[in-house]
Amino acid sequence: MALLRQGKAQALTIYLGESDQWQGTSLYIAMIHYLREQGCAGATVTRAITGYGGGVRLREQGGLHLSSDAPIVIQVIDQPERLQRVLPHLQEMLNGGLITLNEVEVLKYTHARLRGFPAKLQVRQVMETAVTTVDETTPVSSVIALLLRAPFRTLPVVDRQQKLLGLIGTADLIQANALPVRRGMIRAMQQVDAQAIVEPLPHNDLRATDVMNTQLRTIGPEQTIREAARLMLESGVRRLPVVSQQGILLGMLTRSDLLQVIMTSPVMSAQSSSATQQLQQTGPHIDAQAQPVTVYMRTDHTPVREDMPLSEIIDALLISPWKRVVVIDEQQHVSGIISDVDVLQRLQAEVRPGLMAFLINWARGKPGRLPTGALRGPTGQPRLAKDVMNLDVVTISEMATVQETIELMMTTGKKVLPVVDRENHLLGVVGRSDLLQTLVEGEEAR
Amino acid sequence: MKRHQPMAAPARRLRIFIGEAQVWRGRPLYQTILEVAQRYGARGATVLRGIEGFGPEHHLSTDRIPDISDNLPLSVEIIETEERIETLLPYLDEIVQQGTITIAPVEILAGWQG
Repeated sequence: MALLRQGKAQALTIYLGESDQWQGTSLYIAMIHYLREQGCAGATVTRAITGYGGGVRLREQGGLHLSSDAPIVIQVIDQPERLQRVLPHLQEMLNGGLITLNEVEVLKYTHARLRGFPAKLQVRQVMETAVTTVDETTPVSSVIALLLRAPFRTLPVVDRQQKLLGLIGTADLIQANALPVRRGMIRAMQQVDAQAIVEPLPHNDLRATDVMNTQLRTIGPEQTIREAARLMLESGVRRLPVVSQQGILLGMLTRSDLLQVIMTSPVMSAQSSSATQQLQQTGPHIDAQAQPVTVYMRTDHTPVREDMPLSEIIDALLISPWKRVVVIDEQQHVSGIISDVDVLQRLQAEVRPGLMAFLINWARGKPGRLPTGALRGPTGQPRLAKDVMNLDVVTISEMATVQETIELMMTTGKKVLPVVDRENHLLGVVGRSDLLQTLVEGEEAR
Repeated sequence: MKRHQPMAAPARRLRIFIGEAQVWRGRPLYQTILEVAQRYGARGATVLRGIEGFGPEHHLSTDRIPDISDNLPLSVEIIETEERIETLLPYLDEIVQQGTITIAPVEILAGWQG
């Protein structure tokens, strides 16, 4: 079984004749067999009622009637990388038919008939196999360019045999003095002010091998996603390289990959095969993904009041495990959320460099002092939480299931959601790692 | 001969891959998809029945073997303007709880425009 992710994919369409043969068996059956064996995401064979060309020959049959060998159309939708792998053999099998390829976008892909919770799925069924890698000699400037542009946060460094040597993430670049702050901050800076592109630090001769992290935590392709989730939670890493016993890089597994599996897994129900049906009964047999989010939320988060001064907000931000604080009003209603990026975006242009310098020092373990200019507004009064908070705060209802919570995180791109009751009172906060816990905890229940 | 006028209108082809045996509230899912498509503005839809196939769960279904022929693959194709597809999607998303939905750009050369 293979999984397809939402987003860009390719559709392969193969036209052939029903009576076409391959090594003594029907060609389309042999192709389907091959595609399944190769772990493709799915394929559909349709038989047309008549046609000609592409392996199909028109035959005259009894007087005026033309009859044909029925045209067969096989459609395969999968990741480009996997299709490229199966294509040569399909071409070899095809004798006089036609194969077309076009780009499609996958809007939905949910697996049917998985019984219960998917914690026993193997890593290789979920991992991303189209991984961008660099080699030891790649200049760090290229690495930075790749990381700032790419959807992924970590670049594996491999040798010629695809053997994994190390990983480079933004934290490694910050440590090597090659990057001033984390990626989100750089992007935010570029958004508020295109000129404010963060000065690249001198890293003229640095190569991938100089900055890569070699203290690697890896996972094997045959291990379960439960084991992967446990490793991520224990080590705090969000991405695991998947390597063979010989150390060859096979793919990458991210926290989002695992959350997506939880999100798309059907809930167990005796009456229905529905994937998202609400379970009415309570008790020990509820699948983890159908549990209320309140089971996994954290209540140790201290919200800040709207009138808290900025200096205290920054302190709260720096110690927050989520790098965010939730703002509540006098009635305890959630009114906003603040991240370092929010603070940066809401300060006037002239005090931004000071805040950046402060955060850069902090990232290098050298806490300094925030410039006083940043702490006060243009008219001299202290800057408060309500001046810098992001009003566009996405909350999740206490009634929501784990599955619905993950879905909201994925569609909004949020990593942390305040959990609220019907009156918008803050009950707790839930982050992506908290939800990953569902994969690990299912173990005790079963 | 009349010269062909370039009048291609950009549109989207939506493909929904499901199983024939799938049901929505007691009725065949593909029928419900057609009704929903019609109600929310799609001007056409085509259901094709496959003779063999496999999906994410990797179970093969085929008309060659009676035991596994009760859930043959179906694909529903809807070709519509991007706007109408966007309107339709949330409804389809709700009823297609298992399956694959893909979208790809196409040009409409004859038929409805805009």
